[in-house]
Amino acid sequence: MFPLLYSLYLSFFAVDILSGTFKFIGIANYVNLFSDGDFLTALKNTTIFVVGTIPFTTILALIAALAVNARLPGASFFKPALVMPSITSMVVMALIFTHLYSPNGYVGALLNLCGIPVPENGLLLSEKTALTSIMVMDILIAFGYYMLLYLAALQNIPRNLYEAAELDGAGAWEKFRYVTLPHLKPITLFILVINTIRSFQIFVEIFVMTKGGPLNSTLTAVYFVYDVGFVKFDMGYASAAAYILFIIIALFSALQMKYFGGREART
Amino acid sequence: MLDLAVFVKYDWSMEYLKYYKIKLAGYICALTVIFSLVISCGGGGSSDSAKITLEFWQFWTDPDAKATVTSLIEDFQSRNPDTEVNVTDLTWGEGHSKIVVAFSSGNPPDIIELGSDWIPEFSNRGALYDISGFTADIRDKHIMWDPGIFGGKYYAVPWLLDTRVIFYNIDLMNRAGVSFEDATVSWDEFLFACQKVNGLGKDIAGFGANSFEKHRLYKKFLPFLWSAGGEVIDRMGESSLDSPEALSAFEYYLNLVKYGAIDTQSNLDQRFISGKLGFNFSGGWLLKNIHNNNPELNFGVITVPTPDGEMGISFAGGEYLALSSRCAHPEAAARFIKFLADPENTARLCETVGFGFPSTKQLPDDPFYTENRNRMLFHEQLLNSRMPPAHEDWVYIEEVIEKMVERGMYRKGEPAELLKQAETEISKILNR
Amino acid sequence: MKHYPPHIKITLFIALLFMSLLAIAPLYYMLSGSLQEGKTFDAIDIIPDSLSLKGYSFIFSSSRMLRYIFNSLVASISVVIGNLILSTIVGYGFARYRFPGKEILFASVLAVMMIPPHVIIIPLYRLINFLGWYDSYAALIIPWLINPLGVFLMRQYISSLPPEIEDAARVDGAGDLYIVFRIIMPLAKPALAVLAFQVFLTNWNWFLYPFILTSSDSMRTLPVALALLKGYQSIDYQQMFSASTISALPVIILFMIFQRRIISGLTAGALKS
Repeated sequence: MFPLLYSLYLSFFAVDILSGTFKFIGIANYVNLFSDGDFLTALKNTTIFVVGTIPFTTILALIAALAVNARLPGASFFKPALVMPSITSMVVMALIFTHLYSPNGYVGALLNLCGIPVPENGLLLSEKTALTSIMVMDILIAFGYYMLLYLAALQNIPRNLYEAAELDGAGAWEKFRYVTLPHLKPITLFILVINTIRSFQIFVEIFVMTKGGPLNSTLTAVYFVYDVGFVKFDMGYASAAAYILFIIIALFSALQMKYFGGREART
Repeated sequence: MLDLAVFVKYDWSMEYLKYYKIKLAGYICALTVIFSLVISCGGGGSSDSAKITLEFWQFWTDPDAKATVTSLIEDFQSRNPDTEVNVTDLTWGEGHSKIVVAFSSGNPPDIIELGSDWIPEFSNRGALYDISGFTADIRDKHIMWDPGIFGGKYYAVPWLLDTRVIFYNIDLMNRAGVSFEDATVSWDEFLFACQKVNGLGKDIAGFGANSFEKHRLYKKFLPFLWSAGGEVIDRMGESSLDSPEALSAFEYYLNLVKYGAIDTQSNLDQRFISGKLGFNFSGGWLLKNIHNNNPELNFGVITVPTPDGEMGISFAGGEYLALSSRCAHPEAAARFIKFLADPENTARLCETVGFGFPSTKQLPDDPFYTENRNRMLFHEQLLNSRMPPAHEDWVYIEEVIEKMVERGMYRKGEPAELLKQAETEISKILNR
Repeated sequence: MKHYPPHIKITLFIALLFMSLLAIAPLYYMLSGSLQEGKTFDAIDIIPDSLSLKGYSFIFSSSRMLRYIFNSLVASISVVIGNLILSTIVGYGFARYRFPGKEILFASVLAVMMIPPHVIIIPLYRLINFLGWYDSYAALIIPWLINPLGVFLMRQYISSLPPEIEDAARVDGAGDLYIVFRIIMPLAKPALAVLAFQVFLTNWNWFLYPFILTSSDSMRTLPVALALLKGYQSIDYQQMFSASTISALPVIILFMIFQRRIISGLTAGALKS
């Protein structure tokens, strides 16, 4: 809690962290942020990123978990394999995806094959495709880990519930709908909240791949905070930006809690 | 459903006790281990009370460079037996953050290596020690003091300098049927060569244009601006981007981009190394990377082109040595940075890292330099290079320039319009 | 779950196979690249024609590399153990107890995760300095012994466990800690395995905090040491891929161990019908 209160405190000052000068300026930082085009762009991009990745990541993770859990041959290979991207260092993944997205990369070739035009300088260097490309990459890297969480939760559903459902004549869909899903509710809430918090703070991929460009199209909130605080030394302004981001994350998480966590599953 | 009966009937009380004893023992062991480790590491350095210890933070950390730095420090210590230098290594990626955290918490090291573009933001905020008094005797020995000077006082000693030149691929130029007569070329000549090479095929690009990378893109544009006679801030301290010289430079730069590819510095360097890029505006590190990754590459270097074919002005960067304002032993620390920055010692470091120059007018008489034509041209260009104005809000100004260049590259406005907007924004920053 | 019609099974199998191969491709590329000398990225062969161990020998030629690995292991393992115990206890409290201010307290646990690390690092550095922990194992371990993610995960998992067993034990006079260690922990093995893996992964790969909170050579962790090997603007993929392989290997081994736990939860858990 200390850092949280400290940054709230700082956000009301004009702080120069190098010289250590503090000047109380009230809510001026907040007022300035809402007229700062870069910050608003960063918030917009971050929200697009979160809203555009989380549903896909979650659904993909659930489908993969159900599929891996279906006792198919080779399941003992699929499970570790799908988690590997989230283990491999982000810098390596970013490098590989940078090349996949380059003008002569495989993704470009695939898109051309489907008749979709690829920007001249590659997908990451066009303001129309850069953010989407990073979002797709994020979904592909992250879903394996969430699949693992779903798998852990699936182990926990008492088998006899399925048997009871079968006795009642339930089909595969009914069993999924009335037995599996309700039991997955707590872990789904966890996955949603964790992924929301993580995605709102997306930084490393941006830092390694695009540095916020082209034309600010991949500028995200945390990248903005980093640049203002550590490069321009204005920690008060950075803290205010971090605090606005914090409030947005908190609102999102509260909404998710309300819709997914209202009634907790009980046997 | 669950066989709870068995579970409940079992007498757990003994288990309960046994379990706690084991757990407790486990905790005590774990705590002991942690504390002994903490203590053993905390009380390491017992030193003579007469000795001065200097904390030195630096970036030369790859094994070869580190070995040279270490041996230089040993030389210094043997000449100054009363002084001990304690080194902390920083990475190029996050080192700046670590420095900022330490300075902002009132805990800076005594001596610090700073990039030339970082010094003004530190010196203008009173974070560095005024070393004017210690450096009077070496003023004439070194060049490029400018970024270390603020308000007429000296805050940093130039250590290792580098600049940027244009690397060209000879094989690609031959294929395209163009060539350069010597190492200084005119705007038209250079643009023509870029156009020809860019037309060689889909996987070959002419001019390598830097994409939007914060704090880097401006270093690539300013040389063209300076070489055309333009300035970001004029002698009166006013913003002067909206000038005919700046307009011609900006339009020329955008033409180059048209005959090339936009990519990050690291990707451009790689494309050049693998022979798929005709022209790459890059620094001395590329010489080393070519040597390590593709020594067969047939390449040459030219200086920054100008409208009429003179040698243009490039962007110089470098590593400087400074003392923090809280340095406890400024005299010993100053002695140390003067020793490290001594041209002969710096040349030793440059040779192991494979690029860079000591900050002297005279090229060291060393085969590392004299037997490498490219390196000698680098040095000529270095003497014709500049650094950005040492303004405390430069980081905001460079951002305006970078956004302007980027908008131009992505055709989001007419060059003249963009220059005018940038000038207005820079004026606002200057008059804050 | 196992009674899917055959055509769905075949489709699933093919889809999973395809995804899995895609997923391990980067790992393979990294391994393959670590064995090829002096290549730019696009020149790396899928199947190396000659093997070179130069990348690895370069990294291990620094005699202290084992020390760095040891430091990383000490820090990561301590943090994993701390998290497993503390997250279960706190998570249990949040899952099973009603007390005033519970929601606010839980929200503030989550709130800690919502502030970007670059904003936290300066107050944290000052705190560590004040406590005299700078450049010691304490700085690498103690602040991370419990993290909000673990508390949240355990709360969610425990709240999905049937409370009957605990109630039964409680009737029999068992205390809270006893219930946590002897009933909850065995039942929550799959979640604990995931948590252990996650915490290890995070700490093992952590760069920013260890780099800023320590300075001496003897306190250096593996990611910091590997980052320091890189020269200015250098392009050396063999070295980079070797470094990535070295740091990925322990995580993969650990994952292989823990993923068995996640399966075994299926058969060895107490919830047999």
